[in-house]
Amino acid sequence: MKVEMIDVLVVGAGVSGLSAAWFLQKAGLSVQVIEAAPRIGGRTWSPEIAGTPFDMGATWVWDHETSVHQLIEGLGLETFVAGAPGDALFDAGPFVERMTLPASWAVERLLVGGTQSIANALAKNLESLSLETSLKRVSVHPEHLEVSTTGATILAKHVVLAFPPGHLHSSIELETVAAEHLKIIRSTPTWMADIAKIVFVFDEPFWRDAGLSGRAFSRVGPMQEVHDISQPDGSAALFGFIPRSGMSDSEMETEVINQMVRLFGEKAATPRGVKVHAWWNESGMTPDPKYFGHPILREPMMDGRLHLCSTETASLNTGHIDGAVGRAREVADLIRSSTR
Amino acid sequence: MNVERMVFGSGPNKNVRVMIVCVVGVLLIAAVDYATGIEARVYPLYYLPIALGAWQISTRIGVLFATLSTALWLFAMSMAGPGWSVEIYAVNVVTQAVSFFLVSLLVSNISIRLQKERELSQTDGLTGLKNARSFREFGEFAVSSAQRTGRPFTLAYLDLDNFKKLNDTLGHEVGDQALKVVGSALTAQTRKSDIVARMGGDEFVVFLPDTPEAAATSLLERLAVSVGKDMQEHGWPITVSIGANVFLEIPDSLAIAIERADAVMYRAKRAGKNRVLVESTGGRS
Repeated sequence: MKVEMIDVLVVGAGVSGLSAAWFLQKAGLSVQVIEAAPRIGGRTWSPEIAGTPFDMGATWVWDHETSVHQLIEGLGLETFVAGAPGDALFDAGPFVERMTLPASWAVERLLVGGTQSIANALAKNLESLSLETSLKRVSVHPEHLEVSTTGATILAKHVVLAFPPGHLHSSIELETVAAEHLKIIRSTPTWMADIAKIVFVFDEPFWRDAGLSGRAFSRVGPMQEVHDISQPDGSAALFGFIPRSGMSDSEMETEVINQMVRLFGEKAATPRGVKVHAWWNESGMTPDPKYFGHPILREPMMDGRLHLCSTETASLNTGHIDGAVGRAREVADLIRSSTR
Repeated sequence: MNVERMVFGSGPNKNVRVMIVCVVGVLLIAAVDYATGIEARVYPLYYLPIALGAWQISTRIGVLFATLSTALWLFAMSMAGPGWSVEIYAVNVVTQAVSFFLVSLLVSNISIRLQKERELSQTDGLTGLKNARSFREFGEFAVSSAQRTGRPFTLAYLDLDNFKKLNDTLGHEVGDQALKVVGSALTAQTRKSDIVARMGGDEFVVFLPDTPEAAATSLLERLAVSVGKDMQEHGWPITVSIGANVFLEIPDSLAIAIERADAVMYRAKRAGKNRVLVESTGGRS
């Protein structure tokens, strides 16, 4: 079997992998992306609920985050500030208190069409992207790395592992990488792995009529926080974060509706659409918080030819989309400087 | 959520909705009053729009509807043509107006008191700052917000030096006066987005969202100088010990943050009072 050699293979079509692939392809390198899932985007996922895309995964970009804003601008995507001014609610359980938060607190910025539109826009520019293709093994040769996948075997000068380090399955072999190093990689906590998100779509943003911003914080749950993610096209929506708990799905649903009514009144009991997604993920090893964003994750392996690239490995804004993009820029620069 | 909030909501559009309901209501009642003539006692219904306006909007709106109701009631009565003398009309109008005005004033008074009570439950009576309970609520919000944005915040714990001495020598009234002055200095020297609260006694906290070490240190030093100067002007021997922790890595809870800031404040005290000590936790290479 004659296999063509490419410059870079990127494993994972989330924001980090697709950004790295795009930066490298723009620099004139031959790049291929493989993705285990049947869709691109990774933890950015903006499915339609009642006809409008809403973020079930990563949601916000913050105004202090430069990498992601630069990328968004370059791709011609648009952002908007979520919600409308109004009071926040503090849910203490037995009582709910209104509070006026300072206006300058954390401006929540959303992407028009959802954050998955970043991945979609990036993927459109890429020459080679294969879905439902999983990594099995990376072995080291003098001139190249040989990558076995559930599809074809790929020869590449550089390999970028663009998925959460904690997702590196024990069955995946990385030749020459020390066992101790692999253990650290697999112990890295995965961002969002402890929460579920629930989105409620309504006919109108009725909470605004009551002078509420839609923001709430709860001591009792099940939703720890609630935020407004109404879209510029007028579709009104609130979403909540639900930390991992022992509750069954049906118990959780009943409790969440009770909480919505407690906070926002009877109208909250009848949304036009509801969608829940749990990002709960059991990784093979117990995550160790100290490895989140740890410098060791940024150390190249296999003689500078294998790199980790996900928001968990970023030194800045770790866990955010900005971390994913910033780290992708860093990895792309490293690879470019070594191929020059 | 109470009933009237569910019906009218609140916020800028609420008053418009309440006004519309009141105006339509008072006109309907007047129409019924006119149609039923003098025998049917319709006039107590006027209390409804008067009370609603006074409860939901303001005393002035309540008084406005009391006036309007008196005029419409007089009009409906005169159209029924009971043929009374001017004196009888005058007496009826005055007694009616007095009862309408009284209701509007009583209702708006209760409404204002309830609103005040709600504000008081979040406020420290002496200094007008947020109280400890209210601070915990705002603080929990602020920490969760920092967890989302990943932006560092600073929590400062302040404790007055020699406050007990002041209380013992010059009395509690002077002590209270000093606390008030400290409260206004804190408010004056902090930004709108900061949360300032009195935790009890002579202890205060300042939460500085989105504030890294350099900015926090200069703000807190300015604050300590300002408090010291105000105290000196009054001839009080009071200074302030400030311990602050900059959280480059966001803690899991506000309680952890308070504990850390409190510990830094104790170190500042032990190091000889009248000083600002800023430490930081987290941060990576």
